[in-house]
Amino acid sequence: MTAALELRQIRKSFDGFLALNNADFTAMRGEVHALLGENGAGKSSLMNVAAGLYAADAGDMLVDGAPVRLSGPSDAAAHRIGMVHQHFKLVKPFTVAENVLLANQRRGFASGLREIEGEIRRHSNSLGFAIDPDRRVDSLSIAEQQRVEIIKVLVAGAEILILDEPTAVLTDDEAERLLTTAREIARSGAAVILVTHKLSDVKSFADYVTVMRAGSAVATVNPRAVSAAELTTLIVGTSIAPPPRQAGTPGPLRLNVSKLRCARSDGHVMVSDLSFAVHGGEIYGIAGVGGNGQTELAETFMGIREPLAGAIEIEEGGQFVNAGPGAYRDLGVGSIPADRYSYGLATSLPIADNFAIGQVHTGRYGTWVHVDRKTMRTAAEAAIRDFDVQGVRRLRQKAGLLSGGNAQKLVIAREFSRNPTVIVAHSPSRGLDVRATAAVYARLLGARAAGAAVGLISDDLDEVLTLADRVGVMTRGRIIAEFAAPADRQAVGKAMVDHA
Amino acid sequence: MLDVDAKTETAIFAGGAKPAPPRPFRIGRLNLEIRQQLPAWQQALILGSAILIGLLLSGVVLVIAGVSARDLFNEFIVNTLFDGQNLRAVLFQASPLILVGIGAAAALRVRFWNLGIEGQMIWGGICATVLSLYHVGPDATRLPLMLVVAALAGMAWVLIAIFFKMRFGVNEIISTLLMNYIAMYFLLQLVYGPWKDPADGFPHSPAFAPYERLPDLMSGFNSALLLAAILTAVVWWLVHVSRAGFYMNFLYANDRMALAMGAPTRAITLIAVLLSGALSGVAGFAVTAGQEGRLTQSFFEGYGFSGILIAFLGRSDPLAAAIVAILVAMLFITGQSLQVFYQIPFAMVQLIQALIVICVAASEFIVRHRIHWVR
Amino acid sequence: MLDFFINWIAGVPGTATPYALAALGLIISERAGVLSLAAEGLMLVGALSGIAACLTVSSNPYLALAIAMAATAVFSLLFAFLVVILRVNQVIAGLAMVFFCQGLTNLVGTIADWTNRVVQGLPKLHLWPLTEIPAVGRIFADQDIVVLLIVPIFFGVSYMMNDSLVGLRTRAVGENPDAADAAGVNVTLYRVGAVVVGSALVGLAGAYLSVVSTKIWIPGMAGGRGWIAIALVIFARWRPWRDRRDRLRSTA
Repeated sequence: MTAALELRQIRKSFDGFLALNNADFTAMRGEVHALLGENGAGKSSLMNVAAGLYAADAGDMLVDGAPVRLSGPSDAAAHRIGMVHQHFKLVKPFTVAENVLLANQRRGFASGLREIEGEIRRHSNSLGFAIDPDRRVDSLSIAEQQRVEIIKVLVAGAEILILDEPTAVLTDDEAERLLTTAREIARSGAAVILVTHKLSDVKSFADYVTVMRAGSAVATVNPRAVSAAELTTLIVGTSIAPPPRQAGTPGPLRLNVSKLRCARSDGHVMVSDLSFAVHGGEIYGIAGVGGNGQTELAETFMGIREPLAGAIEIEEGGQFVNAGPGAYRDLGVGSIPADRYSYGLATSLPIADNFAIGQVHTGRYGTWVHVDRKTMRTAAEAAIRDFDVQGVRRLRQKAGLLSGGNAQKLVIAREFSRNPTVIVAHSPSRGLDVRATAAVYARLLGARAAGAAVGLISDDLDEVLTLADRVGVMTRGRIIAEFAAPADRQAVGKAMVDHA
Repeated sequence: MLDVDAKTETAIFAGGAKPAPPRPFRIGRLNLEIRQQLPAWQQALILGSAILIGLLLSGVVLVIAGVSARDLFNEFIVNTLFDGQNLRAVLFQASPLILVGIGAAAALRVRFWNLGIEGQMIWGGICATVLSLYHVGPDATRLPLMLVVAALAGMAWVLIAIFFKMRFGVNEIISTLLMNYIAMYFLLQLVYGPWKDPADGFPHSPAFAPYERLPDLMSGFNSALLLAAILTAVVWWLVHVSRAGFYMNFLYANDRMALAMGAPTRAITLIAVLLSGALSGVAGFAVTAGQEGRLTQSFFEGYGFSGILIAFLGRSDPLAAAIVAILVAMLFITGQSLQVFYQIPFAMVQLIQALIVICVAASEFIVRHRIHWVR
Repeated sequence: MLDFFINWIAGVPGTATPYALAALGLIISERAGVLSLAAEGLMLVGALSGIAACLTVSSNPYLALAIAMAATAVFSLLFAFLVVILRVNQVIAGLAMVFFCQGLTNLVGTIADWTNRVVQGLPKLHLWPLTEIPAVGRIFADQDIVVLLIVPIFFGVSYMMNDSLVGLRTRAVGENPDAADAAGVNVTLYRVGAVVVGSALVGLAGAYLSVVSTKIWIPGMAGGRGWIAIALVIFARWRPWRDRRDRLRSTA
């Protein structure tokens, strides 16, 4: 039986960085074929080649046995390849029908819309979920938007369906529904390719899995025939045991947040009546699906966002200070932002500067009249050694050249070298490979051991459950449930979908 | 060294559409990728070549306009560089250009497009003239007082624009630019009206007294140059040595992060922008009390775009901007010769400047992208 | 008194036409994601080529307006090339374009001796019997054809933008170029196209100014109208209640 899609010896490099190194991949009709690997392994890049978004430097692609060379996404669609991206490619102000019409050539506008609306209804009925074609995309939930993306490619006649990290933004329930739908689509004759880094999804829903590492495909196996440990070994190259959890010794109350209320830039209130407390020497994990106010909460601690109401009290010398935004840093709060390239680092500036900015205002690096660059360099050098930041050839080089893991280490180096008493970390291991993640976790646990109060905001439930001593579930801007470690995953997951 | 990038575009589109996607893209068989970095010498080479190409294109235009190629060479190169008297004229002309150049650069370092340079110059000139017309203060201190007042006037005029930006989010590109017209019409009102020189009836103010003019220093070089040099050093200190300059770099690179790190972003922005206004005001004073010796109706023309051009080519670095300003001064002087001897309108200078900017801006594409064929 | 008032209002459409046309052209390109800061320069190009066409090719003013639109569209290709393909910063490219056009039109106008020469302009259409309507009749019916065409042009552009496939793709390119690209829309083509079409309207605005309103070419005659049109478009899209909670702009 000929494969629906076959990729042979694909090579692709970006400005010297080899993303795909002679990668091979085959997908058959009627199957769900998972593409598994950690961040940076090349899964998305390979599928972007298949979907016509990237042009490979070398290698061949065959669709149903015939060699093709795609000139762009429309060409891919013409070959019945459709991709649902991790970051949705939807035009927010447009309606569902308009978005689908945009991607699917029709003769006229009004007539095209009518046709499309009919097809949308047909597909959504056969798949078992209801999508109103006239609703604006920005009024839909994330899960609904994803369904729009799927319908978009189905209307285009896709028979090779690529799903890129589809469960990353979904709750456990929604994820299960999605993957079940994917399996149904496969059983009806399509080839479904599932790009993911989640072992559980692969074990439960995939018929075959290809593991990718460092730009190449290292193995193709039946997931039901191998153990999770074996798969992990394939992904990472060696087996990594998860760090043992030790019970912490919580100290005095360090951070008290009460009835906090914050709004987003456009005025929408995202955090409302939020209260939680963290003691020194403990990690308080805030779990929840992204988009429930976590970003606004993290931004408030960074000093970027001013709360509308409520109080954040930080213990200082026995007293609780109701801190205003500018004062958090001086009261010993360190922040690790979710997007290290947005808030954590100025990518076009030197590494030494990025390190020093944290303490310039204290006068450690000179006065207003003269900035002491030599002291900056010495301090940065020491910190880079202590925190194992690699890939630094010169302190003068731009911070943007560091890899994700090392960039995060630099951010941590800057924040931790002030010996903060309160640490707020937002999705600290997002986008990092297993080794870098382990290093980040070690730092957080180390800070906890040293007596700091650590708040961990993360939409990765595994991360929260691994690290936290207490777990708070955040939904619609409030903490609706709290659990003590070891927390029951089912209970936490249920609380996450429980819209109190 | 700063370069102008996609972030500025976002500032314009505060309410509307987004700029082009930055990821690698294809045009037909050509594959383009974004480079991470390029060695400094290669960047300098590309910049130099672009400027040269711009000049060559300008030369072509001039030849078409009727200037013979040999005359062109003589005017452009030989006369401006090697003629002693011309050199003095170039440096004299360079002084206000240096001032607007470093002023535009200072504002650009905090992402403020000061297109209101001409308006600020006008107010600087007007306020300096007020002191002259009404004999404010003792004669000996009149000139320094005019300088100070001009600086304050320029600062005040740009304050309006930065206030509207900070308080209401009004984009400064439009506000500073349109405010130029307000200043210009007010100036015309003055020089055609109450300040018209009764001595000759021309639309300019009565001439300044000798002690109200910038004196020549030794061997004929004017003190305006000294003024420009001192202020360049001041801006250089601010940008490269002071803590404010350190914060400015962060403000430019990632303003949210700067805020999160405790940098006083609003204060820093204000300092840079007000300094820019002050420098433009001083430039107005320099031209009025220097070259012109009185308030005229068009003394400011051409300085606005020149300032931005100088800041752009000098990558917002004060020292580089000063050097570029001297080169632009050469262009100005050449332009005057072309006007006098070949009847080429002075707008030619604008055209040449625009061509050079276009070539340099286009060359950035090569700096930022690597191109290769896909089979 | 009433006569003066009516005369004054009757003059408004003619004065407003260049602004309206230019703003409309800018909106077209802005919807695709390119705010053409070169408008002031392109207006001058339209103005000069309009007069030049009248003086050289034929004295037919309608042809002159069409030629002006075409010439401006061609010039705008340079701007589109810089901004869309070479990804040059839009402010720098716009400013450079303005001064390039100012310098070039000034130079060409002087050398080719097109300055200060009067052309015939467009006749005012007296649409009888509408002109007989007491008081207000003259305001609507005593205008030249371009003014009268503005309304259909507006409706035409609005229809194109909101109710056609081309408009859908253009708006998508402006709102989310990533999504448009993934949907198979040629982002580059649509952006360049929007700039060129929009610039044709800006050129028409400029040509109207020179051929119809003043019937003459003078260097720099756009006099800031291009910038005002840009300001009109920016303020039309400005939503002042955005970002209020954002500390960067707070007054605290």
